Amino acid sequence: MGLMDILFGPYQRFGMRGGIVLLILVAIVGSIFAVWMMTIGVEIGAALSFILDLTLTYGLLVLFLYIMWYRRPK
Amino acid sequence: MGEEETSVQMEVARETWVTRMGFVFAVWGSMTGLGNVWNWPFKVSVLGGGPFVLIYLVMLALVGIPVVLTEFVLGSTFRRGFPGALKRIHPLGEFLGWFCLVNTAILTAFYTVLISYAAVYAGYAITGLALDGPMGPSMFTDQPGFFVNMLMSPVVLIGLIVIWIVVFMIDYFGTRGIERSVMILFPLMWIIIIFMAFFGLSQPGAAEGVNFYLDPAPEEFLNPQMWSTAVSLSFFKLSAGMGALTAYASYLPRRGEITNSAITTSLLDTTFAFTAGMAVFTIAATAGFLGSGGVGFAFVAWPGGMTIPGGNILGFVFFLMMVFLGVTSAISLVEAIVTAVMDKFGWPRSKTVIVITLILLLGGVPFTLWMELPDPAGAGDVVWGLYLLDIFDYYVENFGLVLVTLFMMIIMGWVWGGAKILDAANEAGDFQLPSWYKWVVKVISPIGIIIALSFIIINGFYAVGSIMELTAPIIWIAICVFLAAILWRMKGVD
Repeated sequence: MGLMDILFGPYQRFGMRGGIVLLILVAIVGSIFAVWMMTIGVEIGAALSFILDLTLTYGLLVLFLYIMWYRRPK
Repeated sequence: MGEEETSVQMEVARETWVTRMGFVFAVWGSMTGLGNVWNWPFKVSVLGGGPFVLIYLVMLALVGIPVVLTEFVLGSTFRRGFPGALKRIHPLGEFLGWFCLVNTAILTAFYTVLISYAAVYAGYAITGLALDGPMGPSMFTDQPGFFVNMLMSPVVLIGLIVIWIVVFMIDYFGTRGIERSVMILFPLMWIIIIFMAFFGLSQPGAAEGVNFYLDPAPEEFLNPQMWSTAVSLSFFKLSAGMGALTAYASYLPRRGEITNSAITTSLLDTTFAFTAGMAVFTIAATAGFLGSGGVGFAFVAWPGGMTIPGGNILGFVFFLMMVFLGVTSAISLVEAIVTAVMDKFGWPRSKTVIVITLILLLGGVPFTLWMELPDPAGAGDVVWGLYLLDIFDYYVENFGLVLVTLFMMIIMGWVWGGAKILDAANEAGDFQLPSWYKWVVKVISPIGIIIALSFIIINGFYAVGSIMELTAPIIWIAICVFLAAILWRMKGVD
């Protein structure tokens, strides 16, 4: 079982929408991280930018990686 | 008939990627280079902060990804390197292909010198040795003394030879060698950059670094420079116009997926650059050297700040990662040339890799020259190698890559047909691109490239202050046109 099977397997039940679920999860994790960053002095604008950028980069990346994994030859 | 038979034999014997992830990682390695660390994050911080990433991703979808997709379609459809594939669309396409690869060869020659700089820094960081030279014995943290000593020492040439041995050994084994190397280097580079980001976030200057990097500056959205930078970065960063993506795609199996691969590799590249920004700015803020990016940041500001506890290790890890980033890009550039030469002349890989490696190594030697040259502007002496590198870098990147990409998009979109590109991409795609996307490939992406070229011209050419600065563009264009014409007219087997 590969790393991608471990990472993406639990979301297979959502079909192709599993990627969207992962994207939302990344945004949630990013938000938690941004709140922590604000506690160490990061300004709110930078923290919100962090959530946006993390979702757009890591979030979209896992979405398309999920599609790649989901569409793999079985 | 004989030529047709040879062509069929080449088709049958063509090597292919073993796994899809091998292809994706190799393309990512090609796209992600030194600029991901010393250029992209700084553009984000200066041009609007975090929201710039959103603009960049829109431009990526409209300009960068269509270019990547087109190169993938070109390689996977015709299963040839850049000139051989373009030849099948238009006879003049082969000339453009060779022009591209001569330009790529010059780029590879000086790019490997920059990797050599990183290798020298990594070596001196981990050993703690001092480098002697005109500035006196300097540790790698003694800046700019160490940098000047390095430029004026043959150590860069030694580093260059080592880098070329590594590149040779990987390319010698073809897609197998590339696949195996990226399967090791890909996770290694991600581990390093994520470790550095978390290390940076645990440091006292983390907040200052993140604010500097991501704090939004809405006024920048009215700055045309921001938009033009987003457009040009969106394809500059993706190894477009170098022939590397076409060469890699030519080794895909029949009906190999390319649409999602184009998007995933582009996003991997952006994600790595975003993470690099988190690492670089938090550590730089802690060490107290937040400023502008570029070669000066990587080789002067960063090592100069590595006087913090654990600085030697951090410096070593940083430059080791730079070496990995550079090598994975360099192997793709060499592969672009090797693939085209093998296709055209039917040479075996071993002979082709030996010949190309030796030519490019020798081509890189002038960029390592350590002799002093009086500065034409009279501000002080400059070093020949870096001086030549700076001039050629300007023309090769700003004009060579942009023009090649523009003409390729025109040939593919208008001569071959945007609908055919879409059909080829959709044939085995993970998902179907809508029919209107062909207009993105045919019209929007080329317009984006023209806008980027216009801004390069508006911002002014390289300041001409000496005979070398005057003759360099003539030398560059003469080499590219002359060698491309010779290679184009030479009789081959393909």
